[in-house]
Amino acid sequence: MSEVAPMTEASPEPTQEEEEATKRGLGIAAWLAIGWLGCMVFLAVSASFLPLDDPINGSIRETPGVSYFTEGHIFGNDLLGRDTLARVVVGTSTSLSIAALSIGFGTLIGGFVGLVAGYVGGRIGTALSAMFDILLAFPPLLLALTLVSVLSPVTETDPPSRIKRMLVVALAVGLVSIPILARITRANALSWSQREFVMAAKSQGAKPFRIMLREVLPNVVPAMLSVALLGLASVIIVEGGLALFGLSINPPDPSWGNMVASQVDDLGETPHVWIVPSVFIFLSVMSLNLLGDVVRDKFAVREAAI
Amino acid sequence: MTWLLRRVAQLVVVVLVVTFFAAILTSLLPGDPVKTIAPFATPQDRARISEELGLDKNVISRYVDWAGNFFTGDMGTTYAGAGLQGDSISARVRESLPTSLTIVFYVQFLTLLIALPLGVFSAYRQGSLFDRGGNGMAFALVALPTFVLAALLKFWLGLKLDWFPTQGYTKIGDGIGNHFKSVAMPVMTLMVGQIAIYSRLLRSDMISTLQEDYILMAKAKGIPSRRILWRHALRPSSLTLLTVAGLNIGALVSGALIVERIFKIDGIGGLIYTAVGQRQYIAIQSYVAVIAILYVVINFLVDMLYSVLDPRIRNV
Amino acid sequence: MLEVKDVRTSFKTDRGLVKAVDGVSFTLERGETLGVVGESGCGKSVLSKTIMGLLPSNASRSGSIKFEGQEIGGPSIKHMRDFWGTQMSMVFQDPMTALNPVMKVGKQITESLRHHLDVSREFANETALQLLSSVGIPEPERRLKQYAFEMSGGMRQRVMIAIALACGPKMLFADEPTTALDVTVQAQILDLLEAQQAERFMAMILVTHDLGVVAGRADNIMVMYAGQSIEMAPTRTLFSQMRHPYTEALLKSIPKLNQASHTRLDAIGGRPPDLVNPPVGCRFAPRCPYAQAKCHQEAPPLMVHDTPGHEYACWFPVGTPQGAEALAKNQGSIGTAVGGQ
Repeated sequence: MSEVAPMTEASPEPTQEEEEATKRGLGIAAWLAIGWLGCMVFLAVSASFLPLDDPINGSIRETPGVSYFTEGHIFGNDLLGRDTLARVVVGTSTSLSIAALSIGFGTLIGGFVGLVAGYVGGRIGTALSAMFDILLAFPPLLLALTLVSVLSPVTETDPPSRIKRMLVVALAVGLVSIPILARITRANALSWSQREFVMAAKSQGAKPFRIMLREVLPNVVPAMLSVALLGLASVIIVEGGLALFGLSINPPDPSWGNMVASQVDDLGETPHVWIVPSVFIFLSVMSLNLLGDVVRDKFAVREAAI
Repeated sequence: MTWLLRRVAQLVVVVLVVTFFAAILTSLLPGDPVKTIAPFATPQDRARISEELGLDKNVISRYVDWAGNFFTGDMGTTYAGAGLQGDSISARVRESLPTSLTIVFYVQFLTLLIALPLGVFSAYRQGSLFDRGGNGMAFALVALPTFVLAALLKFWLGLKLDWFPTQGYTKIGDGIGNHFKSVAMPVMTLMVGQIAIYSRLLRSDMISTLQEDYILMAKAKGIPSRRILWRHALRPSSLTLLTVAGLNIGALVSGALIVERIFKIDGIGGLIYTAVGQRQYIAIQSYVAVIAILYVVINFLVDMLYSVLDPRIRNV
Repeated sequence: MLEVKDVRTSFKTDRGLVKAVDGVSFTLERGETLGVVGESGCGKSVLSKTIMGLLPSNASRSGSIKFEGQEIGGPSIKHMRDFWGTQMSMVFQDPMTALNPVMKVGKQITESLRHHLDVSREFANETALQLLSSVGIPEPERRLKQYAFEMSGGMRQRVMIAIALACGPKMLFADEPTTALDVTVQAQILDLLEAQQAERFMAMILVTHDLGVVAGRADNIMVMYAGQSIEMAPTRTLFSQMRHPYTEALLKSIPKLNQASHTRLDAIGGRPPDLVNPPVGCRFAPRCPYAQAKCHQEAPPLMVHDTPGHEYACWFPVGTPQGAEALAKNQGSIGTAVGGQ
């Protein structure tokens, strides 16, 4: 398929894709998704300022294990008397921080490597993309599990702080995301690098690094953004997986995944404690997936083959 | 045939590289690996572990030793504490691998059984209520993480309705009924997302195939729609599906790890759960290698299937 | 045998209703060949798909199509399915895309035999072999087991003809059957079609953009422009006394053997009109070197003027005093023809 398909003849049948693309403004679903994610970001940022109960230590005065809509506990509390709302809000800040940090890290490194591999091409490009393929041969959760357990071995000293633990998890998941982001960036960079305006810049003697940043990168950004949004959703899911194996942040610190994982062997006891974060996870993942798709369609990012 | 040989050679190289990465994992351990692996070991144990890991040799010869043992079925032993003999890792793998493979097989089989007709039908009735409903539902289901779905099923079908046991795995030899009951929820959990992905993918490929000239040609021959869909359109449309199925094995393995953990099934996922909890690095190393090899081999088989479905590839 | 009356086909699109075929009528008898000629996008392919009843779901058609006295292409697809293959069949333009890439060609031939005639597998295979050798394919046994991509373009088109002929249709549509082929094999394929048509006494509609293709092969020729039939005549008549300026322009755009080498071919300037909002008057007027004010205001009717059987739709026909006058007027006043060159 050529990059630009000039519409010389009006074909009697517009394809489904064309129809969908022209119809879709930024539909109501996308706005809802943006709204939900906006709320999540707000909660994450202001978690420590909001007048919430202590998310770590329950109060002895409370009746433990009360369900939704009890006075003072809109989402109930758990068997230790800890307020679910407080925990899920702090969990939001943990989960989103891990997601943002790891995808930020992955995009930076993966984007750079992918850009170089795509633009420079040749033997370096082939070698780099072979490396991505090998890294992609490990199931992502397995790789993340292994990396976290290797990067934070048990030692005799105190368990690491919440922040340090978050960084370790984010680093591990970020490493896993690098080949995925690198591959998509490379594929897009490769196709853009062969366009006339890049040739033109080259023929005027622009330095390769400059061409990469000024000519190629801006065109690759939509594809990266789309994959990054989908990546954020994946990280939220992977964090849950890690938590199930006791490899997300250490309890009693809450994250969305931790809250579900802590209940998974005893789901019937206080179901609201895991259902509330599950709903948060589900809505956030769906919103991110939706926005990722919207970006892809808006900028007509091709699922670049090659 | 040369084509096949080339693919097999590629497979071997990839397996070697992938196991290499798995094997040098222990070198990534910060500080003294031996101390991390066996914090309270006696000096003799430490010396033995250090020798087993070949820490005094360079990376390549360490890998060669490791691979020599690994591919002959000796994956070493777990570390069991000061002065104790650990369990054989190979034996554990032999014990649990069939369980995991059984589950994954059920999932793939049932997924195809359901996703193919769904995809074909929604492509044929493109834009209908059924098609649009399916689209929306698939979108939501893809966003439902495995562990959330597993928790919901375990809570609802297991605890509330008490239809299926909430944990454990019954071998097929120990009663077919109980076997199917024990895998019902894990398989359902993994199927849902897969069906959503496959049926939508097949739908979009099928829609573009149905606009091909050869479909019009088949129609002009007077072939009934049903036969056109299944005999003319399905095969060319299933190629992308197959590619994605191969790539998707990774997600399926991740999912299998999670359902085995949640439903307490002693598959590879269960093994990894235990090993991670006890920080059994040598065991983890072998499990990772086993899974990575499986993944690569399955992808290879998918490639083979690809060439069966599309005769053009064999001659390239 | 085939009677087409005032057929109109339109497609619903985002831009509006595209009137791809706009009032075409003709009749065709068994053993006859009708050549349908026009530029791409003039509706000639849509016309044959309309008659076959192979339109996509966003199309609608009106008018009457009678096959052996029976109205066809009604609402029921099932009804049409009995016609496809056995009564009428089609040879498509591009044999690469019209043959299933992942199905052996033998299977593609026997499939319709088995379905329509309910014959045994052995008999179907035997028939497929005969068909392949009758369309001039050497080593038919081997070819049966091959895929389309293993054959040359001409070979594929022969296979497609074999498929179309498999169930002995009474009528064959050939939609630009040689456009996708090398020049060297074009004539072979056309000769094959002609021979098969004569041998099986079929009616044939040969759709092409190339007047040269139909010159020696069609009994009658219909020239289409912007969804309408603008000139129709027996082949000899059309070539000896063409009346419509568009037909003339088409003929001028074909290279001729007796021209000196390096003679410039006359391309038709401008582009075909928008089929959503076609011009009010004659649709060719904006590109016509003969066009006068009347042409832009009033559409000429398609009718017989002087010779019986020769219909055309033009106010200032080529080769008549009115035409000559109009042309002279245009060349004199503006220098270049309106919209021409």
